[in-house]
Amino acid sequence: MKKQELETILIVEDNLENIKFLSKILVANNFNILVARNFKDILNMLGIYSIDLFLLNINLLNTDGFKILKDLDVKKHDYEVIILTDLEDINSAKKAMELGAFGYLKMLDQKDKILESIKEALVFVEFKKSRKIRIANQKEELDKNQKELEKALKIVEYKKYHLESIMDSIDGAFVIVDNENTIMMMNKHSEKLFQKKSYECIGKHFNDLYKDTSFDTAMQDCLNSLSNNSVNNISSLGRLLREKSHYYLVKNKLMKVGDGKIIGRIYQFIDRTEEIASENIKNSFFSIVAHEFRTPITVLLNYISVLQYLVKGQDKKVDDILQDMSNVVSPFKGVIDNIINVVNLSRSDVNLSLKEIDIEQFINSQIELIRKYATEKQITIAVKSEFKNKIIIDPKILSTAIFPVLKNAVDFNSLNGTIDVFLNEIYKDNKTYLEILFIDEGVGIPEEKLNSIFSEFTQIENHMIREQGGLGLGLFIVNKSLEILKGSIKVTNNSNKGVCVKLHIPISINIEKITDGGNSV
Amino acid sequence: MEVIVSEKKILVIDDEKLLVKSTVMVLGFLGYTGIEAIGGAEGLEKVISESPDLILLDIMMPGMDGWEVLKNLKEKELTKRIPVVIFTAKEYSDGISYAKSRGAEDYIAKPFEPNDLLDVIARNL
Repeated sequence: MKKQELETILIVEDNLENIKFLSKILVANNFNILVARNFKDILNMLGIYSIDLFLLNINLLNTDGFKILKDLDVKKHDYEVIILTDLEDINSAKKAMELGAFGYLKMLDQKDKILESIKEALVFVEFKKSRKIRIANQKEELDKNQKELEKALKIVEYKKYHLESIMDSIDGAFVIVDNENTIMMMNKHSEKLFQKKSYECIGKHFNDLYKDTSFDTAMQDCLNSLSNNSVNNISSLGRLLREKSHYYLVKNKLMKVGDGKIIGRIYQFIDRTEEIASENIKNSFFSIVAHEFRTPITVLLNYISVLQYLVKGQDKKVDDILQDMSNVVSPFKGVIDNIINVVNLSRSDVNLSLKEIDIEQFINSQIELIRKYATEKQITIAVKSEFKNKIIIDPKILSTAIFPVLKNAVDFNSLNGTIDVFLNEIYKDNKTYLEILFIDEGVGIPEEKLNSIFSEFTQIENHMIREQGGLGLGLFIVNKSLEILKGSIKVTNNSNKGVCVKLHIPISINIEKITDGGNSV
Repeated sequence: MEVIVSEKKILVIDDEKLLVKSTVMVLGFLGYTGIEAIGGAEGLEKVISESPDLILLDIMMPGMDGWEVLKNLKEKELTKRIPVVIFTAKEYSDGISYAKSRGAEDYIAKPFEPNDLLDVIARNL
């Protein structure tokens, strides 16, 4: 420890002899000396000088030495006090020590002892000073750390608040879960949806949110259906959750961090009740309208055939008219079915109802539906299947995917033509697919039209083909059905004549659990 | 043109008068005796009074619903053996099993053509 400057000692004494005596010692040892007679003097000097040590005569004549000692309040300052006492006054010494004095000296003590005590006291003063500095530094450090902590906390609070605001302002209810399906976060819309407070739910399992509520069954079905879809690629295509009179679009996405590690999942529930309601109205309208045609068309067909029975052969003109009428009205059977199919397939809440079916038997039953038309044109249809097991698929949607293709294969086929249907099981990208090939001997499709034939209402503009009627809805229905089944279609012209239509539809034997929910956030 | 009138009686039950009338006419030309019944109530009456060999029954009827009529027919000893062919909308791809699951013997989808009628009747008479 370097002594920057001379230490300053204040002698509080009213006896001149004593003052002289002490000063001599102190000057000889390089101390600064000050003298005071009373507390007022002391205060003045404290105001001007930095005092390290007091030598205080406890028995001053006109002033109470003990009071001075007390007022000096050694504990709170960087100085120390050594009291000077008379020979026999042990009690004073004790009392002084209790009041904080560092030690006591007798006036008649040896010079060396006096000096030693003084030096000891000064060492202690030095120690006090450095400790004070150290404590101040530590306090400063702690304050700094605390400030930074408070700042960081404020930032976290802000971000949390910000995040919550974002979550609350985004449409729909969110629930964020971790990899164990424990709820990490919910926004206020989900609190409202599930009628629970987020603080009640955070840390609990996702199931607890809807278990034993009116949502229970609906959520289970919905989540099952979401996970069934994971057999194919899950995108953000959601499933509709119906609870009482509300419809919610349910989506789920995986949350991944930078290096691709999956940290959880977000469930999103978007209220679609209004849209579904208006969609339902629209669908109902179309269904009703389409259904309305069924009976009148039947009546027309009945009467046309009755007339044909009654007047056949009597007048060719009449025969022709009646035949034309029959030709025009007949296809409406298919048109009405197509409209209904389009309406049903376009619904947001299309759900797959998976069943186990024998695919060869299924294809044959579809063929039976067009048997009549095939027989009229003497078309032979042959089915070859390599499937031994049953497959799991939605048969209704499979039929809307297949039937129009089959019908086209008959309609656009030549007389005495053939249709070959092949059923294969193929593996692509770790998934199992049902492959159906329809190969006909018809007119084929112009190369440039091969891609566009599946868009709505497109049909090949060939007068011969247009005579066969139809609105082109058939192919649109195939497309929509395949979209729902996550399948694909490819049409190519055969080398000699006709068309090859290849359908790939993912199938499952075992329904897998969710392993991948979709895109990273 | 010769029309052979068969002894087989076919009852047509539908709420649409023209449908019933025109179908009965077609049945006549197909060689059957058609019987008209407009609505489910009249249908049930005619089943008792006419003892048809086959019943064509519309499902979507206001008032007495087609399913009710079917249930009624199949519950009664007197009528349960008469084959019933229901008129359906073609939403059911497995129409026959659907019809059977509800208690009918077969189905025919509207709109139908006389040939379709011929086929389904031949299958079930």
